[in-house]
Formats: sequence, C-alpha cells, structure tokens
Amino acid sequence: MDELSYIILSALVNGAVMAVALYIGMRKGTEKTVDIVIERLRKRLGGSPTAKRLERLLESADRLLGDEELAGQAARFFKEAADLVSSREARDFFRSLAELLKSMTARPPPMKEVVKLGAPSKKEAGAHG
Amino acid sequence: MGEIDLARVMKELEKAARSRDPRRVVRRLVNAFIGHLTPENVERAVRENLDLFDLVVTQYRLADPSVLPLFKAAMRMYWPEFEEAVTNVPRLYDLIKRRLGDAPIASSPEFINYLNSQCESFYKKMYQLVWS
Repeated sequence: MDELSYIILSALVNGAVMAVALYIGMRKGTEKTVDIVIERLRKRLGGSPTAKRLERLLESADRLLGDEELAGQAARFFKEAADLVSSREARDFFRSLAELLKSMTARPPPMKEVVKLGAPSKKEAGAHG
Repeated sequence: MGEIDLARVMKELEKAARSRDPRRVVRRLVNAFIGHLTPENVERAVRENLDLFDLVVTQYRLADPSVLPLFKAAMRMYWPEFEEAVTNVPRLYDLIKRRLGDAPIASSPEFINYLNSQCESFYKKMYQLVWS
C-alpha cells in the first residue's frame, strides 16, 4: 500500500514540478503552452480531488504572478498538501513548492555593497610573482 | 567549455527547488565552480578579461526559455545565500586560493582586480536577470 501511495504521489509530484516550472514561465509563455501543460497534467494526475484543485489553480495561473492574494492561496494549498502527506520527501517537496510560489511574487530586495579585496602588498605579490 | 545538456540543467534546478537547505545548495554551486579552476584557466580568464556572467549564462543555458523561469524562481529563493557568497570577495578569494595553491596568479594584483570587478559585475547582472 505504501508503495502504491508512493507511486501515486510521485506522479503527483512530477506533475507538480512540471506545472510549477511552467507556472512560473507562463507570464512570458503563450496560451498554447498553458493548454499543453494543463492537458499533460490532466493525463498525469487523473481525476483525483487533489488533481482537480491543482488543475483549477493552474487554470488561473496567468493571473498568479501579478496577484499576491492568488499566490498566497496557491502557497497555502501546497502547505496544506505538505501536512497531509506522510512521506518526508513529499512533505519537503510541497513545502519547497510553497516557498517557490512565495518567491515568485517577492519584491526585489535592495542591492548590497560588494566587499572588495585590497591589493596584495608588494612583498606578498613579489613572493609569488 | 561546451554547453551542458538542457535536461541536466533542469534536473539540477528541480533538485535545488526541492532542497530544504539553501546554504548547502549555494555552497555546492560555489564549490563546483571553484573545482573547475586551474592556474591555467584563471590566467587565461584574467588575460582575456573573460566575463564570468556571460560564461555561466552560456554554459548553463540560462537564457533558454525553458530554463530561465525556473532559474529565476530558484534564485529568488536562494537570493540571500547567493548574495552572501558573491558580495564577499575576500571569502571567495580564500576559497579560490586554497584551490590554486602556490600558483603565482593566485596572489597577483591582476587576479585580485579581476576578481573584484567580476564579483561586482556578476552580482549586478544576476540581480537584473533575477529580479527584472
């Protein structure tokens, strides 16, 4: 049973990885790409309730990147998924996914100053050069 | 250096997205980069003033439409760790020096100037790529 759950979960995880990768790329992607992804996802995930939720989420993906609330909903979905699954690997994966979604709408941080290295002393440079 | 297989790049990015330990991921990347350094290729890079950002973008096909979105997302997750690694030139220099050993290029002012300018431009260009 555990093995079967693992196989199902793997399919879900693989589908989700693919979905997230394209999810992120959708802003620049074409409508056709989105349709292909959703179609592939449907095939991979079958008709489970989780798959349907994920599918609904994907169908609104075009709005996601510019919509913090929607991104928050998606992140919560993956957080819930992380609590529901028993495998540690899957749990970590869903948590990462939630973080990934959060990062997509993150605002640019301020740039840091680069700490530079001083030139070597003549003695040091001369010892080698 | 030739380009790396696209599937391998995607797999690495997927692994990075799954990781729960961002510091480890960044450390692994930095070590992988340093692991490729030899006194000869460092000398060449300094002599030809090679742009490390362009080199990395070409090598890992980061501009590829199927890689870029995932790369940007992964980098946003790991930005603090990446930033910490690339904006501290003295620490990076220590790691490189350990790798290059007593090679004269490692202590030369030309290399230090090159490293300073490359770290700065790499950081700025990566910022533009990731946050634009």
